[in-house]
Amino acid sequence: MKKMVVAVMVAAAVLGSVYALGDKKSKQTVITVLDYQDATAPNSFEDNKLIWEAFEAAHPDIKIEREVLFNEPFHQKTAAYAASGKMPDVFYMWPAGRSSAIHEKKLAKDLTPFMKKDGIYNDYSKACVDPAAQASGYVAEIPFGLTVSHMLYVNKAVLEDCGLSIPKTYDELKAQVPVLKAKGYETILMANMDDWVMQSCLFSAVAGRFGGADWADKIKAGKAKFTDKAFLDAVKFIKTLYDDGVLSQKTLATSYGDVVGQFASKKGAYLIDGDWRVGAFLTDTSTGKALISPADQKKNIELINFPEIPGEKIHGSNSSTLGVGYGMSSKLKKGSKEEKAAWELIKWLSGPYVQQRRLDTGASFPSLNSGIKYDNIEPLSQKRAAFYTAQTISTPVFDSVFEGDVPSVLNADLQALGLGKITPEQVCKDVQAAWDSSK
Amino acid sequence: MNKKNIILVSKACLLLSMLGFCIPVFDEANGFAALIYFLGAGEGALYVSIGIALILCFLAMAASILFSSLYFIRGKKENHTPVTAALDWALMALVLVTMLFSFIAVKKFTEEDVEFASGFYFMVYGMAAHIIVYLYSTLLGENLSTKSEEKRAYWMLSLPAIIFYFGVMTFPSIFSVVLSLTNYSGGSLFEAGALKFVGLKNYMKVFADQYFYISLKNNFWIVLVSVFGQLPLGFFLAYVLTRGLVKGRDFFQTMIYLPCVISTVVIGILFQTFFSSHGAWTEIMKWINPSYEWTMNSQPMIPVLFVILWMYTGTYLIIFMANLQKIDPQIMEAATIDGASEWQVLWHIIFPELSGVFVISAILAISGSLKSFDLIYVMTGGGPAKQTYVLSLYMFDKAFRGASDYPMANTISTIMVVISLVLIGIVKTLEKKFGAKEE
Repeated sequence: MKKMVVAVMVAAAVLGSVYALGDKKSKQTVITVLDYQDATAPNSFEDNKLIWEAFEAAHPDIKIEREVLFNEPFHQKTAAYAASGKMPDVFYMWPAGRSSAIHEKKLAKDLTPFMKKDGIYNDYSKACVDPAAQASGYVAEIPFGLTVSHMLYVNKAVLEDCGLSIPKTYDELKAQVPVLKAKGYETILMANMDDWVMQSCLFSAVAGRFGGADWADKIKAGKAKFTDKAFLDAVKFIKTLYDDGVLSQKTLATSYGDVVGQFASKKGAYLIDGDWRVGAFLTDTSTGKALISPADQKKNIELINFPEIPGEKIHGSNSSTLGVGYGMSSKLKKGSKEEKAAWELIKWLSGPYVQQRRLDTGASFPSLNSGIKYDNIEPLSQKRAAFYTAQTISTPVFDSVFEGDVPSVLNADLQALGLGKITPEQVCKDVQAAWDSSK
Repeated sequence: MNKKNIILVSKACLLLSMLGFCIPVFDEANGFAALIYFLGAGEGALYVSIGIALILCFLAMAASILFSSLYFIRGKKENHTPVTAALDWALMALVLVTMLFSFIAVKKFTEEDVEFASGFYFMVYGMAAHIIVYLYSTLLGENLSTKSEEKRAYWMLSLPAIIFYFGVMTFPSIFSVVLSLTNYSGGSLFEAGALKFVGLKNYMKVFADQYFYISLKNNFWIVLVSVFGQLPLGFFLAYVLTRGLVKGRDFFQTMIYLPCVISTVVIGILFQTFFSSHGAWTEIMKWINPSYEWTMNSQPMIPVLFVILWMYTGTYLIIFMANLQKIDPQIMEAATIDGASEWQVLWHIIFPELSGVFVISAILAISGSLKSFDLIYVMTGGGPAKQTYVLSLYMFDKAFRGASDYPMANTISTIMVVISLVLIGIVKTLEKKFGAKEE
């Protein structure tokens, strides 16, 4: 027994001497990251290597512990972190809306001083670094660009099969419904099952058409209400889409993951989604495969605004908002090595290398004024660039302006509208009530 | 285990604590490296005292372990004398004081920007385990011959489990009810203002919310399917297989039970796709009836109920099979010889024997039904338009989505507990009235 005890203590001392001075080489700064990534999207696997591993290779003194989630699980995890008051060191976030808890509770640092210190502030477009555009009132995240939440993706091959062409007015679109149905096609595909898509990807654009570019500002300022005619007309139009069969109830059972496959396999003539969905159709560089081949993108796919709606106040407008980006935890000690490492990472993720990658894969359009090449992008990305250039009036995206329960009440009621369980007037009343109780 | 052995176990825990001197405690430095650093840092008395404290901590640990080993094992003693007990306590106190002083001083009073590594946790948890086990040993009597010593032993054995149960079950349950009567919204962490007692206001809000009644209705359907679907079907299949009415018993048993072992998330995604507008169900129906068209079901819960029935019947099959096999086959043979039909055997022998099992299974089915969340969350997300909402999902949305309303979420959970208790009470009453009696 005595020998065993002595032997154990000697072994412990020897083991200890091995670690006595620590490993100087592994003196890395560890930073935690909460990232948003659709693992099923093309190029997402390569992004791990080309963006994240490349950063670690370029910065051997920094180690990243990355948590990757997508869609609702991401938002729930963010809410849990926000509730604990301790966000990861770097996290993916929105300028308002879905990240309202982070903005309200000032859980992200103001990145303006960091950008100015490194002399990169003026490299970004003014709109993207406008502090007023973010809910916290300062630049909490460096946006990847501006994002258009409503795009009407058109499959011309389906239209040509039915002897149709791209409609310019709603009436023309409505007239296409029976023709498409007779051939077994849906008119508009949309992932209406999820609890954010309708209000973000369609209703925001429609509300802008009926209410004007300042419809949301007026409501926020108390000069208008959700029960006013303009908003009611927008809701009634959504009902009209269902009644006319332009939007079918099938969209209410279509999940966000399924809809791109349906559009790519020509189940419908049109798809309503945000500009970010372009990336889903591009070539995955790791496999060389694309949901829609570049040749098909060039020949058959167009990106347009919603056609002219009867009774709209402004024509050809679209809903857009500041894009997403990465923020830094406000709990990081000022001047600490974690703060420096986090800033290096954010600078990398918002810098020309990653923005070029995001442009090439269709993930976003750059917020940098220079340093980006546009030569090698696929036809659909080129059409996206042309779409932006053609945009004239921009109106707000609902969940970027209204926070808390308001967007979810609206979205749920718009789904109920599609099911015929609620009237447009009731929708407006419910949204107004949600807005009143959130103030 | 007697007192001596428990003391030796506590010293083994302390040995674990000593490992903290061998593996990294502060960043990459272990305890030895740390004490060398603090002694030689030349930063003043505080650093020197931390170094001395670490040395004393190590020596006190070693002395404590050696002392007990030599005293109990080599000295072949069965118990401490008052003097040796006092010495042992003194050593433990010295370890505790020096350890706490070192860690608090490093973190709070020095400029060292260090993080605790795994060695710290070994030291702290090892020390905590040592203290708890040592205290446990001191409260044990020398023998259990007196009633009070017996009582003390029972308390000591059950106290850890009671504390754990209180911490994990009782306290949260009571606190949840308390929160449901307040306006809690995050506390001081989110500058939410003082906590106020609001009485039954949250309960009024829940009872006035249409989604509560939709959730309640859906939960009611799930309970019905579980109690009147899964149980009878499970019993019927168990009866058929146990009585050998079909061949291939093992095969059928495996196939029926298989859904229970597949991940609920996988099943949810599978059936979401299966029942979607372009899914396998639509294609099968079109193959049978070419004019079939998918329409949004006016009862969107039906696919969910089907999956619940399919998924969990296997659990009750196993329960009933196990209990059917416990019934003495000679009783049934005797009844058959006496001229009883299969149905009479079932009604007069098997049902009464299994009445208790039916009650337990019904309780399991009810509690499982009320907590069902994962399948519905994945399959429909509560949609479309919250028509497949259940109480657990409603509670989850209130707590974690949009603007979190913790008091409402706690209110819903309290209501769920009350509903469970009522339903279980009904089942127990029915069992008392109609179940088998002890003769």
